[in-house]
Amino acid sequence: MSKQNRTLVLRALTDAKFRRQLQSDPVTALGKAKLTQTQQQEVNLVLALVKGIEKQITGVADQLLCVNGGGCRGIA
Amino acid sequence: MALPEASAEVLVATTWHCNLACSYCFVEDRRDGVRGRMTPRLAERLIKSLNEGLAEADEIVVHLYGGEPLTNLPAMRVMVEAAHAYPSGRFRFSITTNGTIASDEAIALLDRGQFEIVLSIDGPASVHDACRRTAAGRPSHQRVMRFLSSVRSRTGCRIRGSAVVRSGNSLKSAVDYLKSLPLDAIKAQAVRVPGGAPFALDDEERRAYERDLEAIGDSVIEDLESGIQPMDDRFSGRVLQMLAGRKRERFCSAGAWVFGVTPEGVMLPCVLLDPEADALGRLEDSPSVWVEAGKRWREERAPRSECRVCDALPYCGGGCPAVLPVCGADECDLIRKNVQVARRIYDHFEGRQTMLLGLAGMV
Repeated sequence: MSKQNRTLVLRALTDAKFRRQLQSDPVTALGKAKLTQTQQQEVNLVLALVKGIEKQITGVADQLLCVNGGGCRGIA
Repeated sequence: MALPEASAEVLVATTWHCNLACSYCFVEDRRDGVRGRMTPRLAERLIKSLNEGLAEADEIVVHLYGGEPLTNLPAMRVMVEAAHAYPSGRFRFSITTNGTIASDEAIALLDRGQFEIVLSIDGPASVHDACRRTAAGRPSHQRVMRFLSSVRSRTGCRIRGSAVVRSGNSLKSAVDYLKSLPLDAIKAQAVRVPGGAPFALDDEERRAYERDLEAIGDSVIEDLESGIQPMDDRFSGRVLQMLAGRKRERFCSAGAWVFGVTPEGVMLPCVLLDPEADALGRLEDSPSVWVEAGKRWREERAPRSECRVCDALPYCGGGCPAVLPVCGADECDLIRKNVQVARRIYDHFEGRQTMLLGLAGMV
């Protein structure tokens, strides 16, 4: 993944206002006159990646043997 | 900012029956034939009911549990086929298995459902077979290796190896062994039993466990520095949480986006909870019954008073309501240690935070 897109992912993850604008008005969010089809695809990818991270954060915390863990009834 | 939630996970015990009798297992012996096995009819109902009840979720992960889920293939088959009637991505499947059933039917079903497989492997045969044996006392390690090989060669499933760290089996040795196998991700964690119980880590082993957690943290940093996604992702969620500046208001989403289902169709906030004390309804009910009961169950639970003064609370959310009654303060110690290591990983990349996106696979 390009450094530029990683920077965009980080900003969209940490700046809710920027993320909303990237969704609703990516041209303004990125300060461009217009977006090429490739650039729009990259914006979509960035937004999908941020959504994936949000899901990862929301998942059950790390120590348990339940969701994405393993073991009988999550205990042993 | 509160955590946004859009993905639902439902832990479904399709049977309490298990073909193994692991010495540290907490599941009561319910090997009594039909009782304790989900029927195909109920399995079909489950998919329909989850789709209706969790309409606002953008995906539903059905995580098969037990008992050993691969001992109830008819219910599993019905679920997988019923899910295929919905748009792609509406349902995803996961399974926690002991990996001892590698029949053609089981392997084909795992592939058909593109399951994420959580495979229990405690260590090499000498360690694994010390606890993980059939009721007749036969070892299971060799069968697990055959299962792993079959899944690898005949499916596109992602596999997470999962080891139970117990007295006599250190975290380090469990992690080292799992890393030697053809797995996509690994998890090795302390057995959840009250202190002093058989298999519980003693004081020295607990100190070693915490040192091993530190070493895993070092390994995560090394991997990220090298542009590699760490195989051991136990710290990933919390580090990303720190990166995103989110607070965890509850330990998990039980009762809202996480539910459990027993083989008899009892809906619970989580399958780890008591089917009598915590029942939300039944699969045969209108989904609104268990959805609304889940909201009430959740509202009635707030972090304990001791949690309010704990600096790990924003990254813990008050602990697992199923595990805390079993492990108590021991569980809190482990969570605090995990948060501490996660913080160290986060701090290491200060000023280079895009590197942390490697924890989400962006390498």
